[in-house]
Amino acid sequence: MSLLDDHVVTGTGLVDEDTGRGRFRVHRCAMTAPEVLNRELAEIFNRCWLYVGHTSEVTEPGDYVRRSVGGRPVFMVRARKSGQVKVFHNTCPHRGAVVCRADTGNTKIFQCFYHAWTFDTEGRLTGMPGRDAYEGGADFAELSLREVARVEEYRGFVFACYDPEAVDLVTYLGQAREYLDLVVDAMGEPEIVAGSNQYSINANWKLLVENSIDGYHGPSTHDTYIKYIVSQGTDIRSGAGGGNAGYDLGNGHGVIEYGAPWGRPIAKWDPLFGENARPGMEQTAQDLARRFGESRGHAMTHTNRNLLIFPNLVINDIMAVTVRTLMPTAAGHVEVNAWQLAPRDEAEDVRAQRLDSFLTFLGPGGFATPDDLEALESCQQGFASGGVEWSDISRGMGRDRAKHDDEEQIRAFWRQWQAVVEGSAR
Amino acid sequence: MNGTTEQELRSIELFLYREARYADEHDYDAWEALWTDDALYWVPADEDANDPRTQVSVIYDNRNRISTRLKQLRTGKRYSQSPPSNLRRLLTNIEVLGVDKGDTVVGANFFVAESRERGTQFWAGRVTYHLRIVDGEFRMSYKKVKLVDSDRALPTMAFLI
Ligand code: FES
Ligand SMILES: [Fe+2]
Repeated sequence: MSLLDDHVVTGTGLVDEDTGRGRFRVHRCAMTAPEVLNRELAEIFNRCWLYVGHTSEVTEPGDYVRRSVGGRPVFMVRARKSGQVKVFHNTCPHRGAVVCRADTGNTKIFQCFYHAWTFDTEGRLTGMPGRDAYEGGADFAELSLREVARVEEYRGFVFACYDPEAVDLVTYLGQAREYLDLVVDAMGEPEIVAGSNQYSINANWKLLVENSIDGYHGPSTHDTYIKYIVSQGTDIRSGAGGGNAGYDLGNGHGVIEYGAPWGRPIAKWDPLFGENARPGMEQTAQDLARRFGESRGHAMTHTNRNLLIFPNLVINDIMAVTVRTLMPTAAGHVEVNAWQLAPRDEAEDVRAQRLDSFLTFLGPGGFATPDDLEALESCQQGFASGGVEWSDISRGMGRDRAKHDDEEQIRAFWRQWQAVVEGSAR
Repeated sequence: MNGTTEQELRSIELFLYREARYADEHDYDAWEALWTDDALYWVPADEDANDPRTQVSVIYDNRNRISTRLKQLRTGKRYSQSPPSNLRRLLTNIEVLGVDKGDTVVGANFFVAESRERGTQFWAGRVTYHLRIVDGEFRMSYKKVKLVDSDRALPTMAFLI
């Protein structure tokens, strides 16, 4: 426990990179120590840009969704007058009660039920019972709903940040924008599909970060999934030569890209989609190639991307497009929210196939995700054994250009994690 | 429901108990044989979900996918069920609710205790079955499992619920 005593409280020295030896390792107390989680809450979740939701979820004036962002209850609303998407702290400026108590809806006002203060969708306090009692000079502007310090949007993705001093979102996203652009451009106008998967894992949240952008575990952990799609007529060699690579995108963002060994709803046809869907999907692939050029078009239609936006947003553009956030509730527990993104104008049967394709792999009852979760819980259980202090994340360090089943993109996360947690990223 | 005799209700209950036992005991062959060819097995992800073709689900299996699910479990390499969960479920409040396209619609409440290395998990909710007589025996054409906590984060659900 010596390292624990020295480093856990300050969060330094938990990531050890030795390029000379080609060794990269992470101390396992980063996954197990409650002190580390406390630092993460203060330095990461209170300071980084965090995904809140998508503008397609609040298209009409007065539309709102309730969310937990960085472990705090907030809600996002399309304000009626300004048309802006606002994100408010979900607590009444009077004496604290949660103001928005439904997951989604449309409203003209938000009324706190406790003493019935009412707020318009811009957040302004507009009424209260017994207003005359405040004639001593209550400042109604000050008693309005409190907006989260920073809220910005990039191509429909709404992010919030609790740190008023943070860099702007576009600077923060940096090179990751390029990959978001690919996902959005391929869809034209994307929307979040109704409903979401919520699941929990008895493992540290960073194990799921790693897993979400890990191309190495697929053939072993998901062997049964791969055998299944092969048995249904998928030619997994169709993904070969897809420019497989893993990238450190800076600022802790990372991505893997690889030729899709399976069908993709935009627009790599596969027998699983059925013959009926074939002409439409092939047409879409041609259209995208014409609009964006052969190589970018191909990247949109035939290349998989697992993208991590530091710290806790994952966009996996695989057999469906899933937008996933993860939030620790303890060192050994993480809760996940997963949505699906799809083209707004998608034909009904393609949408149904997309949902089917998603469920074939993803979610707490899918043919693959549960095995990922099992692996992460298994790691967390393994940590309790002690004896081994460090986890090894060196794969592919010697290579000029990392592959998608190397760990370069995972190292990207950890480098930034270390800098942020110890405070040197500021 | 009007028109259901005590004896009919009893035979329905016995069928449902058998289905529950096969699922609890991971008797995949016997469980699979209970389904009709046009089967649907649905676990919605959200409290108010009503259309699995436009909304995200936890499970939405047709007969083909039910068979795949069981095939995967039988490999022993479905790691989230290897070793399998230790399961026991209670079915209560069994009622015949009506008829849908000739199938008998039955509702029940359920409670499942699941024990695994990760700990013990309790699952509860409402289940709706559609039952049909095929070759003189009951078969399921539909099973919808609505969890009481479908609006919360769920642990892995890789077993047959
Ligand atoms: S706490 Fe909201 S009105 Fe009093
Ligand atoms: Fe995986």
